[in-house]
Amino acid sequence: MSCSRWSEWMSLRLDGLLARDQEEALLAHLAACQACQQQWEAMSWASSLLTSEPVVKPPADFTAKVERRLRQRELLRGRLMGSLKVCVGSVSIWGSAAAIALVLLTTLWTPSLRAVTLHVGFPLLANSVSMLSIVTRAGIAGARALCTTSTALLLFGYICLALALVASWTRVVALCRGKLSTRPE
Amino acid sequence: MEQEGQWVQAALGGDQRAFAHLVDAYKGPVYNVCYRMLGNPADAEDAAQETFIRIYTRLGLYDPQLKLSSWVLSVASHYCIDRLRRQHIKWLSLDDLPFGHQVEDREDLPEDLLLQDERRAQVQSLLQSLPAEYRMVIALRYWQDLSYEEIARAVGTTESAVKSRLHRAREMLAQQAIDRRMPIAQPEQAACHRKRVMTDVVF
Ligand SMILES: [Zn+2]
Repeated sequence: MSCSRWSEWMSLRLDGLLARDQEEALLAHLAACQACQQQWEAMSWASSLLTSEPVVKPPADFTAKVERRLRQRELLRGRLMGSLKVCVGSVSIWGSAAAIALVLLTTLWTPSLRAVTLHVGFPLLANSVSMLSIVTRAGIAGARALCTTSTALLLFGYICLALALVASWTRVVALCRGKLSTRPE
Repeated sequence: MEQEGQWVQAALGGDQRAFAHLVDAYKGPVYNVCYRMLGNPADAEDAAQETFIRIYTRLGLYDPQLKLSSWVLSVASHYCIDRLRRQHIKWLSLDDLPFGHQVEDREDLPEDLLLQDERRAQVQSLLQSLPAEYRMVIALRYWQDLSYEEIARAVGTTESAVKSRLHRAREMLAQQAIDRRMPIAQPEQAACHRKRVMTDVVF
Protein backbone atom coordinates (compact mmCIF):
# COMPACT_ATOMS: atom_id res chain seq x y z
CA MET A 1 0.00 0.00 0.00
CA SER A 2 1.34 3.43 -0.95
CA CYS A 3 1.99 6.19 1.60
CA SER A 4 -0.84 8.34 0.15
CA ARG A 5 -3.22 5.47 0.86
CA TRP A 6 -1.98 5.33 4.46
CA SER A 7 -2.64 9.05 4.70
CA GLU A 8 -6.29 8.42 3.80
CA TRP A 9 -6.45 5.98 6.66
CA MET A 10 -5.02 8.60 9.00
CA SER A 11 -7.95 10.85 8.18
CA LEU A 12 -10.40 8.00 8.77
CA ARG A 13 -8.70 7.21 12.06
CA LEU A 14 -9.27 10.78 13.25
CA ASP A 15 -12.99 10.24 12.64
CA GLY A 16 -12.90 6.88 14.41
CA LEU A 17 -13.81 5.04 11.23
CA LEU A 18 -10.98 2.46 11.12
CA ALA A 19 -11.59 -1.13 12.14
CA ARG A 20 -9.30 -2.55 14.82
CA ASP A 21 -7.11 -4.52 12.39
CA GLN A 22 -6.82 -1.53 10.05
CA GLU A 23 -5.72 0.63 12.94
CA GLU A 24 -3.05 -1.89 13.90
CA ALA A 25 -1.80 -2.04 10.33
CA LEU A 26 -1.59 1.76 10.22
CA LEU A 27 0.34 1.92 13.49
CA ALA A 28 2.76 -0.72 12.21
CA HIS A 29 3.37 1.33 9.06
CA LEU A 30 3.86 4.53 11.08
CA ALA A 31 6.50 2.80 13.17
CA ALA A 32 8.35 1.80 10.02
CA CYS A 33 7.90 4.95 7.85
CA GLN A 34 9.41 8.24 9.01
CA ALA A 35 7.56 10.39 6.45
CA CYS A 36 4.16 8.99 7.40
CA GLN A 37 4.95 9.27 11.10
CA GLN A 38 5.77 12.97 10.66
CA GLN A 39 2.62 13.54 8.66
CA TRP A 40 0.51 11.73 11.23
CA GLU A 41 1.92 13.88 14.02
CA ALA A 42 1.20 17.09 12.15
CA MET A 43 -2.25 15.91 11.12
CA SER A 44 -3.29 14.82 14.58
CA TRP A 45 -1.84 18.00 16.09
CA ALA A 46 -3.89 20.18 13.69
CA SER A 47 -6.94 18.04 14.37
CA SER A 48 -6.62 18.40 18.14
CA LEU A 49 -6.13 22.15 17.71
CA LEU A 50 -9.46 22.35 15.89
CA THR A 51 -11.13 20.08 18.43
CA SER A 52 -9.97 22.28 21.31
CA GLU A 53 -11.43 25.40 19.68
CA PRO A 54 -14.96 25.96 21.02
CA VAL A 55 -18.06 26.78 18.98
CA VAL A 56 -18.47 30.56 18.65
CA LYS A 57 -21.71 32.20 19.76
CA PRO A 58 -23.62 34.83 17.78
CA PRO A 59 -24.21 38.26 19.37
CA ALA A 60 -27.13 38.51 21.84
CA ASP A 61 -29.26 40.71 19.57
CA PHE A 62 -28.88 38.41 16.55
CA THR A 63 -32.51 37.27 16.30
CA ALA A 64 -33.84 40.81 16.76
CA LYS A 65 -31.59 41.98 13.92
CA VAL A 66 -32.84 39.24 11.61
CA GLU A 67 -36.44 40.25 12.40
CA ARG A 68 -35.64 43.88 11.65
CA ARG A 69 -34.07 42.92 8.33
CA LEU A 70 -37.09 40.83 7.43
CA ARG A 71 -39.46 43.72 8.16
CA GLN A 72 -37.35 46.06 6.03
CA ARG A 73 -37.45 43.56 3.15
CA GLU A 74 -41.22 43.26 3.35
CA LEU A 75 -41.62 47.04 3.43
CA LEU A 76 -39.39 47.41 0.39
CA ARG A 77 -41.31 44.70 -1.42
CA GLY A 78 -44.59 46.44 -0.59
CA ARG A 79 -43.25 49.69 -2.05
CA LEU A 80 -42.03 47.95 -5.18
CA MET A 81 -45.41 46.32 -5.68
CA GLY A 82 -47.08 49.72 -5.15
CA SER A 83 -45.01 51.45 -7.82
CA LEU A 84 -45.52 48.50 -10.14
CA LYS A 85 -49.28 48.95 -9.72
CA VAL A 86 -48.98 52.65 -10.52
CA CYS A 87 -46.93 51.89 -13.64
CA VAL A 88 -49.34 49.24 -14.88
CA GLY A 89 -52.24 51.53 -14.02
CA SER A 90 -50.87 54.50 -15.94
CA VAL A 91 -49.93 52.35 -18.93
CA SER A 92 -53.44 50.96 -19.13
CA ILE A 93 -54.96 54.44 -18.78
CA TRP A 94 -52.86 55.85 -21.62
CA GLY A 95 -53.46 52.74 -23.68
CA SER A 96 -57.23 52.98 -23.37
CA ALA A 97 -57.17 56.74 -24.00
CA ALA A 98 -55.16 56.23 -27.17
CA ALA A 99 -57.48 53.43 -28.31
CA ILE A 100 -60.55 55.61 -27.76
CA ALA A 101 -58.95 58.54 -29.59
CA LEU A 102 -58.07 56.29 -32.53
CA VAL A 103 -61.56 54.84 -32.76
CA LEU A 104 -63.06 58.30 -32.50
CA LEU A 105 -60.84 59.77 -35.22
CA THR A 106 -61.49 56.97 -37.69
CA THR A 107 -65.24 57.09 -37.12
CA LEU A 108 -65.37 60.88 -37.50
CA TRP A 109 -63.26 60.64 -40.65
CA THR A 110 -65.71 58.25 -42.32
CA PRO A 111 -68.93 60.20 -43.20
CA SER A 112 -71.22 57.15 -42.93
CA LEU A 113 -69.99 56.47 -39.44
CA ARG A 114 -70.39 60.04 -38.26
CA ALA A 115 -74.07 59.64 -37.49
CA VAL A 116 -73.36 56.42 -35.60
CA THR A 117 -70.71 58.22 -33.59
CA LEU A 118 -73.32 60.56 -32.25
CA HIS A 119 -75.43 57.71 -30.98
CA VAL A 120 -72.41 56.01 -29.52
CA GLY A 121 -70.97 59.25 -28.15
CA PHE A 122 -73.15 59.34 -25.08
CA PRO A 123 -72.40 55.80 -23.90
CA LEU A 124 -68.72 56.57 -24.42
CA LEU A 125 -69.09 59.61 -22.24
CA ALA A 126 -70.47 57.38 -19.53
CA ASN A 127 -67.44 55.15 -20.02
CA SER A 128 -65.13 58.08 -19.56
CA VAL A 129 -66.68 58.74 -16.17
CA SER A 130 -65.97 55.18 -15.08
CA MET A 131 -62.45 55.51 -16.46
CA LEU A 132 -61.98 58.58 -14.32
CA SER A 133 -62.94 56.58 -11.26
CA ILE A 134 -60.32 53.98 -12.22
CA VAL A 135 -57.72 56.72 -12.46
CA THR A 136 -58.57 58.04 -9.01
CA ARG A 137 -58.62 54.57 -7.50
CA ALA A 138 -55.19 53.74 -8.93
CA GLY A 139 -53.97 57.13 -7.75
CA ILE A 140 -55.15 56.56 -4.19
CA ALA A 141 -53.70 53.03 -4.07
CA GLY A 142 -50.36 54.26 -5.43
CA ALA A 143 -50.26 57.22 -3.05
CA ARG A 144 -50.95 54.92 -0.11
CA ALA A 145 -48.21 52.50 -1.16
CA LEU A 146 -45.62 55.18 -1.79
CA CYS A 147 -46.56 58.19 0.30
CA THR A 148 -43.79 60.35 -1.11
CA THR A 149 -44.21 63.84 -2.45
CA SER A 150 -42.60 63.22 -5.80
CA THR A 151 -44.83 60.29 -6.71
CA ALA A 152 -47.90 62.11 -5.40
CA LEU A 153 -47.07 64.99 -7.73
CA LEU A 154 -46.54 62.56 -10.59
CA LEU A 155 -49.91 60.97 -9.94
CA PHE A 156 -51.56 64.36 -9.74
CA GLY A 157 -50.02 65.16 -13.10
CA TYR A 158 -51.34 61.93 -14.58
CA ILE A 159 -54.83 62.62 -13.31
CA CYS A 160 -54.79 66.17 -14.70
CA LEU A 161 -53.59 64.88 -18.07
CA ALA A 162 -56.28 62.24 -18.13
CA LEU A 163 -58.90 64.85 -17.23
CA ALA A 164 -57.64 67.17 -19.93
CA LEU A 165 -57.76 64.33 -22.45
CA VAL A 166 -61.33 63.44 -21.55
CA ALA A 167 -62.40 67.08 -21.55
CA SER A 168 -60.88 67.81 -24.95
CA TRP A 169 -62.38 64.67 -26.36
CA THR A 170 -65.93 65.57 -25.16
CA ARG A 171 -65.39 69.03 -26.62
CA VAL A 172 -64.48 67.50 -29.99
CA VAL A 173 -67.63 65.38 -29.85
CA ALA A 174 -69.75 68.42 -29.02
CA LEU A 175 -68.22 70.44 -31.84
CA CYS A 176 -68.80 67.72 -34.39
CA ARG A 177 -72.37 67.38 -33.20
CA GLY A 178 -72.95 71.14 -33.65
CA LYS A 179 -71.52 71.05 -37.16
CA LEU A 180 -73.66 68.06 -38.12
CA SER A 181 -76.89 69.62 -36.89
CA THR A 182 -76.29 73.02 -38.55
CA ARG A 183 -75.39 71.42 -41.88
CA PRO A 184 -77.99 72.27 -44.56
CA GLU A 185 -80.09 69.32 -45.88
CA MET B 1 -39.26 18.23 16.31
CA GLU B 2 -43.03 18.59 16.17
CA GLN B 3 -42.66 22.07 17.57
CA GLU B 4 -40.27 22.84 14.68
CA GLY B 5 -42.81 21.61 12.16
CA GLN B 6 -45.41 23.95 13.63
CA TRP B 7 -43.00 26.88 13.49
CA VAL B 8 -42.25 26.13 9.85
CA GLN B 9 -45.95 25.99 9.00
CA ALA B 10 -46.67 29.23 10.86
CA ALA B 11 -43.69 30.98 9.24
CA LEU B 12 -44.92 29.82 5.83
CA GLY B 13 -48.17 31.61 6.65
CA GLY B 14 -46.18 34.81 7.24
CA ASP B 15 -45.89 34.55 11.04
CA GLN B 16 -42.60 36.29 11.80
CA ARG B 17 -42.78 35.45 15.52
CA ALA B 18 -42.74 31.75 14.68
CA PHE B 19 -39.82 32.33 12.36
CA ALA B 20 -37.96 34.08 15.19
CA HIS B 21 -38.19 30.81 17.16
CA LEU B 22 -36.53 29.01 14.25
CA VAL B 23 -33.79 31.65 14.14
CA ASP B 24 -33.19 31.19 17.85
CA ALA B 25 -32.97 27.44 17.42
CA TYR B 26 -30.42 27.53 14.56
CA LYS B 27 -28.50 30.79 14.95
CA GLY B 28 -25.66 28.97 16.77
CA PRO B 29 -24.75 26.46 14.04
CA VAL B 30 -25.38 28.94 11.22
CA TYR B 31 -23.28 31.69 12.79
CA ASN B 32 -20.51 29.25 13.58
CA VAL B 33 -20.34 27.90 10.03
CA CYS B 34 -20.30 31.46 8.66
CA TYR B 35 -17.57 32.45 11.10
CA ARG B 36 -15.34 29.54 10.14
CA MET B 37 -15.97 30.14 6.44
CA LEU B 38 -15.54 33.93 6.32
CA GLY B 39 -12.94 34.31 9.04
CA ASN B 40 -14.19 37.36 10.96
CA PRO B 41 -17.15 38.20 13.22
CA ALA B 42 -18.53 41.11 11.18
CA ASP B 43 -18.81 39.18 7.90
CA ALA B 44 -20.00 36.12 9.80
CA GLU B 45 -22.88 38.03 11.39
CA ASP B 46 -23.94 39.60 8.12
CA ALA B 47 -23.75 36.28 6.29
CA ALA B 48 -25.67 34.46 9.02
CA GLN B 49 -28.46 37.06 8.90
CA GLU B 50 -28.62 36.85 5.10
CA THR B 51 -28.78 33.07 5.42
CA PHE B 52 -31.89 33.39 7.58
CA ILE B 53 -33.48 35.82 5.12
CA ARG B 54 -32.89 33.21 2.41
CA ILE B 55 -34.35 30.52 4.65
CA TYR B 56 -37.45 32.66 5.20
CA THR B 57 -38.00 33.36 1.52
CA ARG B 58 -37.33 29.74 0.48
CA LEU B 59 -39.21 28.03 3.27
CA GLY B 60 -41.73 26.88 0.66
CA LEU B 61 -38.99 24.77 -0.96
CA TYR B 62 -38.19 22.91 2.25
CA ASP B 63 -39.02 19.20 2.04
CA PRO B 64 -40.33 18.13 5.48
CA GLN B 65 -38.96 14.62 4.83
CA LEU B 66 -35.46 16.04 5.40
CA LYS B 67 -34.05 17.03 8.76
CA LEU B 68 -34.56 20.76 9.16
CA SER B 69 -31.03 21.16 10.54
CA SER B 70 -29.48 19.65 7.37
CA TRP B 71 -31.54 21.93 5.17
CA VAL B 72 -30.66 25.02 7.23
CA LEU B 73 -26.96 24.14 7.09
CA SER B 74 -27.14 23.52 3.36
CA VAL B 75 -28.62 26.99 2.81
CA ALA B 76 -25.85 28.46 5.00
CA SER B 77 -23.11 26.53 3.23
CA HIS B 78 -24.28 27.50 -0.25
CA TYR B 79 -24.65 31.11 0.78
CA CYS B 80 -21.12 31.25 2.22
CA ILE B 81 -19.55 29.61 -0.83
CA ASP B 82 -21.42 32.02 -3.16
CA ARG B 83 -20.37 34.97 -1.07
CA LEU B 84 -16.74 33.90 -1.04
CA ARG B 85 -16.82 33.52 -4.81
CA ARG B 86 -18.20 37.05 -5.19
CA GLN B 87 -15.61 38.39 -2.74
CA HIS B 88 -12.89 36.57 -4.58
CA ILE B 89 -13.84 38.31 -7.81
CA LYS B 90 -14.03 41.67 -6.05
CA TRP B 91 -10.84 41.37 -4.01
CA LEU B 92 -8.71 39.31 -6.32
CA SER B 93 -5.83 41.74 -6.05
CA LEU B 94 -6.19 42.13 -2.27
CA ASP B 95 -6.26 38.40 -1.66
CA ASP B 96 -3.48 38.35 0.88
CA LEU B 97 -5.05 40.67 3.42
CA PRO B 98 -3.20 40.15 6.68
CA PHE B 99 -4.86 39.11 9.89
CA GLY B 100 -3.32 42.16 11.50
CA HIS B 101 -6.69 43.77 12.22
CA GLN B 102 -7.16 41.29 15.03
CA VAL B 103 -4.25 42.75 16.95
CA GLU B 104 -5.92 45.06 19.43
CA ASP B 105 -5.10 46.48 22.79
CA ARG B 106 -4.75 43.22 24.66
CA GLU B 107 -2.63 44.17 27.61
CA ASP B 108 -5.38 44.07 30.21
CA LEU B 109 -6.66 40.63 29.19
CA PRO B 110 -6.12 37.69 31.56
CA GLU B 111 -3.64 35.09 30.41
CA ASP B 112 -6.04 32.27 29.53
CA LEU B 113 -8.12 34.68 27.45
CA LEU B 114 -4.95 35.67 25.63
CA LEU B 115 -4.20 32.01 25.00
CA GLN B 116 -7.75 31.47 23.77
CA ASP B 117 -7.38 34.44 21.44
CA GLU B 118 -4.11 33.14 20.15
CA ARG B 119 -5.52 29.70 19.51
CA ARG B 120 -8.52 31.17 17.74
CA ALA B 121 -6.29 33.28 15.50
CA GLN B 122 -4.19 30.18 14.76
CA VAL B 123 -7.26 28.12 13.90
CA GLN B 124 -8.74 30.84 11.71
CA SER B 125 -5.53 31.44 9.79
CA LEU B 126 -5.08 27.71 9.22
CA LEU B 127 -8.67 27.47 7.99
CA GLN B 128 -8.23 30.42 5.65
CA SER B 129 -5.39 28.57 3.94
CA LEU B 130 -7.89 25.94 2.70
CA PRO B 131 -10.03 26.20 -0.46
CA ALA B 132 -13.62 27.10 0.46
CA GLU B 133 -15.08 23.66 -0.32
CA TYR B 134 -12.55 21.97 1.94
CA ARG B 135 -12.99 24.53 4.69
CA MET B 136 -16.71 23.84 4.65
CA VAL B 137 -16.40 20.09 5.28
CA ILE B 138 -13.89 20.76 8.05
CA ALA B 139 -16.25 23.28 9.71
CA LEU B 140 -19.20 20.89 9.53
CA ARG B 141 -17.13 17.96 10.80
CA TYR B 142 -15.37 19.70 13.69
CA TRP B 143 -17.90 22.20 15.01
CA GLN B 144 -21.25 20.73 13.98
CA ASP B 145 -20.08 17.16 14.54
CA LEU B 146 -21.92 15.92 11.45
CA SER B 147 -21.40 12.45 9.98
CA TYR B 148 -20.03 12.05 6.42
CA GLU B 149 -23.56 11.39 5.23
CA GLU B 150 -24.95 14.53 6.87
CA ILE B 151 -22.09 16.65 5.52
CA ALA B 152 -22.75 15.24 2.04
CA ARG B 153 -26.39 16.29 2.30
CA ALA B 154 -25.54 19.75 3.60
CA VAL B 155 -23.03 20.57 0.85
CA GLY B 156 -24.83 18.65 -1.90
CA THR B 157 -22.28 15.99 -2.76
CA THR B 158 -21.54 12.30 -2.19
CA GLU B 159 -20.17 10.63 0.91
CA SER B 160 -17.03 9.53 -0.89
CA ALA B 161 -16.41 13.12 -2.01
CA VAL B 162 -16.74 14.22 1.62
CA LYS B 163 -14.29 11.53 2.66
CA SER B 164 -11.71 12.63 0.13
CA ARG B 165 -12.22 16.35 0.85
CA LEU B 166 -11.71 15.76 4.55
CA HIS B 167 -8.59 13.79 3.81
CA ARG B 168 -7.17 16.41 1.46
CA ALA B 169 -8.06 19.21 3.88
CA ARG B 170 -6.29 17.47 6.74
CA GLU B 171 -3.23 16.86 4.59
CA MET B 172 -3.14 20.56 3.74
CA LEU B 173 -3.59 21.58 7.38
CA ALA B 174 -0.76 19.24 8.39
CA GLN B 175 1.46 20.68 5.68
CA GLN B 176 0.65 24.23 6.78
CA ALA B 177 1.44 23.33 10.38
CA ILE B 178 4.81 21.98 9.31
CA ASP B 179 5.57 24.89 6.95
CA ARG B 180 4.67 27.51 9.56
CA ARG B 181 6.70 25.66 12.18
CA MET B 182 3.75 25.44 14.48
CA PRO B 183 4.54 23.72 17.81
CA ILE B 184 3.71 20.17 16.81
CA ALA B 185 4.79 18.52 20.09
CA GLN B 186 7.00 15.49 19.38
CA PRO B 187 8.82 16.34 16.15
CA GLU B 188 9.97 19.69 17.58
CA GLN B 189 11.53 17.94 20.53
CA ALA B 190 13.05 15.30 18.34
CA ALA B 191 14.53 17.96 16.10
CA CYS B 192 15.96 19.65 19.16
CA HIS B 193 17.69 16.46 20.22
CA ARG B 194 19.08 15.85 16.80
CA LYS B 195 20.56 19.35 16.73
CA ARG B 196 22.28 18.80 20.03
CA VAL B 197 23.72 15.51 18.85
CA MET B 198 24.99 17.22 15.72
CA THR B 199 26.67 20.01 17.66
CA ASP B 200 28.26 17.40 19.87
CA VAL B 201 29.65 15.75 16.82
CA VAL B 202 30.94 18.98 15.26
CA PHE B 203 32.62 20.30 18.34
ZN1 LIG C 1 4.63 5.76 4.64
